[in-house]
Amino acid sequence: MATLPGTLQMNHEQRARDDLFLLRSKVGEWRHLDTSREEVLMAALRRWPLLAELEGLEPLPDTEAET
Amino acid sequence: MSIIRLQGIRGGVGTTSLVAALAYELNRLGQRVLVVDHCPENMLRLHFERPFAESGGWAHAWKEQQDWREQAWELRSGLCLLPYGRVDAMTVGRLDHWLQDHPDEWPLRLAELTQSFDWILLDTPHHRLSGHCGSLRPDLDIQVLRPDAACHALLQGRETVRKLMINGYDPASRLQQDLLLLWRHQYGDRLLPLPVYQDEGMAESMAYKQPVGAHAVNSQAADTLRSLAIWCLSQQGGRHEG
Repeated sequence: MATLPGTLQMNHEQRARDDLFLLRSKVGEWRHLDTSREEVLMAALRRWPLLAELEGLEPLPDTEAET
Repeated sequence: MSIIRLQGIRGGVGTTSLVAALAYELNRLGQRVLVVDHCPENMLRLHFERPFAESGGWAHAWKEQQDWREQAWELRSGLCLLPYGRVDAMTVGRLDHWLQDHPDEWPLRLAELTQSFDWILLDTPHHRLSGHCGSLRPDLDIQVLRPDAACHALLQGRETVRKLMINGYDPASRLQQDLLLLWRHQYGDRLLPLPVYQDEGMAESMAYKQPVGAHAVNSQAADTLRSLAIWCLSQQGGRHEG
């Protein structure tokens, strides 16, 4: 593709659209999930051994908890 | 008339100070308010400039076979206080048994006051005095907690629909930030819309024998309590429409 000359060569936008089409055809339906809030919550829980225990989670190792 | 009950999930969470402060702010909004102390510690009166040595109150009246109505004080226009009174531990125990045997006593007393007040605020003990608290049927039932590990542990396994009021929040504390995040996630609408921030004005107010809104009118705690008083009014409006 990259060797096609002139107007037949794909630009970045067309290439991205093509990749998206290919991805869609491989994975079917998908939706966007923002997991950042859950990650913040999980980090908060795991920072404190008591909170982690009450939620059935493993606490962070001490070295990470101090950061 | 609406009844609000505040009860600490444990001792030392600042329930009595919040009852005094909320009552004061509701009264400042033009509401007729009665505060009733159900705690044998008999501390609520100290927020309203009553002398420490004073022994009167509804529990003391029960012991002395006097009329409980005569124990109330009008503190300012539309704001009244019914103290618990000074009684010994044995009397508290006997009174609690008596109240268990007379579950209609407080509902009848409160019904008697319907025309006289817009709000009755009850400061109830955190420890198990089922006779003192069991028969109360508040419109707004609030549990008070501090954002600490002990309160979080005590919340576990408690199936309740009570509202939760956070007192003494310090936003600089990593632990308290994490607990607030977790509680907002776990309890959602049960949390009152604002936490009461850690505020020296609140701590000083009892030393000055005043509610925080009277002692430190411009403090953050007073401002929050003012907002929560308005929130209470909105809840009352919602109930009446419903």
